[in-house]
Amino acid sequence: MDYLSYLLIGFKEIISLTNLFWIFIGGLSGSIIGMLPGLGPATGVAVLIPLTYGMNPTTALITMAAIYYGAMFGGSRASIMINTPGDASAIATCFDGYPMTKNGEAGKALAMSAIASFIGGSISILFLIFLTLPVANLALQFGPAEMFALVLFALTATVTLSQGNILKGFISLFIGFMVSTIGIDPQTGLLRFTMGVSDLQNGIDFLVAMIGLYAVGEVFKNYSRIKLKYSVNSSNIGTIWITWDEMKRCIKPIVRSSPLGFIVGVLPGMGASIGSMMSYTLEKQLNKNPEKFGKGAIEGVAAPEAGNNAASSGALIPLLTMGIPGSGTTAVMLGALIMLGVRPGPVLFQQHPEIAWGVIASIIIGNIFCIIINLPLVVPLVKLLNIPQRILLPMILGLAFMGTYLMNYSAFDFVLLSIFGLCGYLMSKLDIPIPPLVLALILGSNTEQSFRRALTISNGNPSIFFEKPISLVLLILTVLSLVYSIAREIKQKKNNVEISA
Amino acid sequence: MAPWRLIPWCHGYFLKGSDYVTKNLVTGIFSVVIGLIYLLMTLQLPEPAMADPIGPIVFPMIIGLATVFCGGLLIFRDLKSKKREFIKIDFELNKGLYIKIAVTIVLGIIYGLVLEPVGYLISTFFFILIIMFVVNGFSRKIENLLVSLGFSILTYVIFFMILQLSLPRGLLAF
Repeated sequence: MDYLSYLLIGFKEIISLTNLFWIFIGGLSGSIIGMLPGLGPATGVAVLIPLTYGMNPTTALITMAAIYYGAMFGGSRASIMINTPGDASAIATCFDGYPMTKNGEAGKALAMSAIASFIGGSISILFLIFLTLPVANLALQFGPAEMFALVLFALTATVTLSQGNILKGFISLFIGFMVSTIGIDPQTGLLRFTMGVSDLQNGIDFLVAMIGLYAVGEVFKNYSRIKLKYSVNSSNIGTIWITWDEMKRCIKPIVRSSPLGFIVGVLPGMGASIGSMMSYTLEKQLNKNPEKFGKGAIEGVAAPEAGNNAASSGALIPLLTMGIPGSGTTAVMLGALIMLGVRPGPVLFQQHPEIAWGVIASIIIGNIFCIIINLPLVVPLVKLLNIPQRILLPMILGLAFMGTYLMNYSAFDFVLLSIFGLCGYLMSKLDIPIPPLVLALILGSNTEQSFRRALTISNGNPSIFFEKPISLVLLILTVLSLVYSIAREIKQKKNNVEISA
Repeated sequence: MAPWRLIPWCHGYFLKGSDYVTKNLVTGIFSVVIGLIYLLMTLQLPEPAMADPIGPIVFPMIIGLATVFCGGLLIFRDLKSKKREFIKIDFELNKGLYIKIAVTIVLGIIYGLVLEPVGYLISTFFFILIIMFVVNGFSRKIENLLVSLGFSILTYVIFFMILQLSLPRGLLAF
């Protein structure tokens, strides 16, 4: 069996004390960062990048993956305890998690969410094991034309499939492209858009931009709620366990939500927040007593938690097999990996199967670590919610600046970091989505180069994009996703008119 | 006295909010301006002697045009829209927030300048300390001192001593 032997190679690669230690640390810090309101997984990965600097690529990759799914476990802690989601993927958990706490069932909700996260994560690993190889093999046949069409589709879908104003999404995307064109053009050596600043000759390091947007920008945003204090009373959590009967009620929702979340996670632009929301809505519709939802139904905690963990595994498919991130968090992970000299993609599966499969194997182990962190250790963990923002934020800033410095040892990066932090703040104030910008930053150069390489092959004839079947299909999908989002917006407008009329 | 109070128009404008500026309008105008500047810079790029058939200018041109187009469409649709949400910024109320952001940016740049000559431990300690005073308040002196001391020593130990990354030691070159 092919897959099994690959998985064994993966396990062999990662079973060492160092790696196990870092999977645990990654899962723990991910759980904590995911739990703290205002700090999402993208911020978490961005701030913790310096931890991976001295590591070998495999250890770095599994640590970052652990932070990512750890955040999916942790996000629900805050939803349940204080009705404030730790990150967007835990919003749906508030709907029934917090009512359960008010009913004195916080322990049950915490236990259920950890168990559902674990099962959702485990089911989606199975999909991951069987899907990565075929997808990577397909991607291996991609030439420049297909690559361009793929990136175009991924970037368009990030805008069109996410909620919110499409035009603003595209503006964010184009600004990302603009930033990515700054510096020396790799094909001709021409200096572009450096405005005479010599520090810009090598372009803007996308990691600096990402840390600025996600870490410094988040801190600026949170400055306005500095006085907010969450208080968690850990004495009335109750026993952290569930009965067999409750487990039986939740098993079907979990099993249904996992594939749903996984598929949503694979698609660019959707990700864990939409995955968990869709899982919740589906279960509410299928449940025999939908009126209980919103009042503390344990199924309403199980479904979104299984969904968001499954989605986070799903998001690893495009990242690992094609080197294309579908969300802000995976984009930050990709940025950190590129800096360490690992370029995820089909070639990784061919040349370094041990790294690619090591990550998949590490998720199996990490899931077990995360359920240990989030079940028996949950009481000390939720006490961390008591740390006031006014102490937390300066430390996040310190980590962001230090991480940036350690990347290039360049003080000029601090100027960029501050500028991007301010940009991130202003963008969120103007409701401009940040993920399209970040994705364009990291894929921008790739997009332009494959566009030009494809046209070099065809001597400047653009029909090359339509003659290759894979590229044609991807371009059709791109157009369809555009049409879909425009149709959705027109429909929303109609609904608005009807409501106001 | 806040500087914007000097100009009466500015004061009234910021304090009461306006009834013609919306988030979409600001975004649209911003992207048209940025797009035009970018296009202008693209047009000034020299045509390289040796290039692939497309060259380094076509792609930026498309991006610039697309940005101007999206921005223009956003402005057009916003002006025609019936349900416009106007921006209301209360500068007096948000003064503390803007001061915190400004101090952070200025401090960040100074931090970058002194990091190498002074060294990681000392500059980080002062960076966090000043930010703690601004963010955490002047009354919690001991808390601020402990957090900044703890943070700088802990990160130094983790990153310099355990992970063995090189951090500038500066004045404390022991």
